[in-house]
Amino acid sequence: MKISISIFGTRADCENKADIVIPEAATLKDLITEFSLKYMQDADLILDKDGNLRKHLIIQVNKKRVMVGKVAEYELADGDEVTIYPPVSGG
Amino acid sequence: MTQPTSKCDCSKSAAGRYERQLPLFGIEGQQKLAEASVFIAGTGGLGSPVATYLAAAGVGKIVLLDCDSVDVTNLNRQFLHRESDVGRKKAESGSEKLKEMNSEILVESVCGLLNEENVKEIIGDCQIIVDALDNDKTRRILAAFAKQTKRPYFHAAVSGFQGQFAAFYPEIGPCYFCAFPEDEDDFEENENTSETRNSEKKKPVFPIVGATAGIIGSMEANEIIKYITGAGKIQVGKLFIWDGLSCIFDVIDIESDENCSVCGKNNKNDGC
Ligand SMILES: [Zn+2]
Repeated sequence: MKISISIFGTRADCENKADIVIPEAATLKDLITEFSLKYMQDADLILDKDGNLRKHLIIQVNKKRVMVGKVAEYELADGDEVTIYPPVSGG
Repeated sequence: MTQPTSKCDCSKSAAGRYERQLPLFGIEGQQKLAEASVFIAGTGGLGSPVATYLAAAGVGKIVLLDCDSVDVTNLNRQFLHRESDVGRKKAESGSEKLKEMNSEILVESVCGLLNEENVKEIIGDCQIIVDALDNDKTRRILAAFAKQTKRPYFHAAVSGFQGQFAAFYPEIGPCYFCAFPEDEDDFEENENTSETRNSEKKKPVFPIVGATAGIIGSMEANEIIKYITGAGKIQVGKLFIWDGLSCIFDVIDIESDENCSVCGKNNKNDGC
């Protein structure tokens, strides 16, 4: 199935948007992991050293938030649109 | 909560200084501003616009906190400070400018680091807590204190051309911890804190254009003024995320988390 994934903000370190073909029953975590490893220069922004998604990410599927704690069990459907918002913490 | 003593007699200055905002919320709203007390954590890129607009609007008491001194690299965005302030304590430099701008309000400065032990004493009777910080660790101390003591907490953060803003209210909607669950292995946290900046483990500081902090800090001030005066509708459970390079805001719905470590069903904190 084909999923559209984008990362919010104008970025120099990765493709902003991609259509990724993933197997049926793949989870949101699988998709984001593949995106960050394949499309981002620095996957550290998305993944911690154990390969888990960073809790500060905000993730939306079809404009509805999915908490990071639920991504491993969240099954995607063909045509879903996923958006990742990387953390911002400066002042 | 006891009201702080304000020097602001807004009936006297209303016709002059505040004339252009009175049509928006009346003398009653202006009096509420005069009686309000706001604690602003951080006197840098975000703190400059927030403190400036709140002082200009006539917020009766403003307390500025910062542990840092003014550095020349701050001047691209931290407009409360001038070239001649380099080396001075930011909280003192900032409070001096606010007093120059509005002599009718009370402004206090606290030069120090906020921690779990001193947060109660430092915030004192300030009713409104404003996050203009540069690190998540201190944000969590402030946000937890705000929730536990039933005070509103206004959150903002910026980096590069991006920024975000959200308001968290004591009686309604999610808290900061619902929006941003704690991460032990935090990526950004270790990068920019005032503590680590001065330590051996120094990492590159985040890039920032001053206008980003201006946009997000001004949003923060706007929501605080609305909250105090009752003008308009407060935004509950919304996170506003700004991309300055594309000139767009995204709005994300933030829900209360029943398993939240601060306001969830399994914690024993007051006010949750
Ligand atoms: Zn919560």
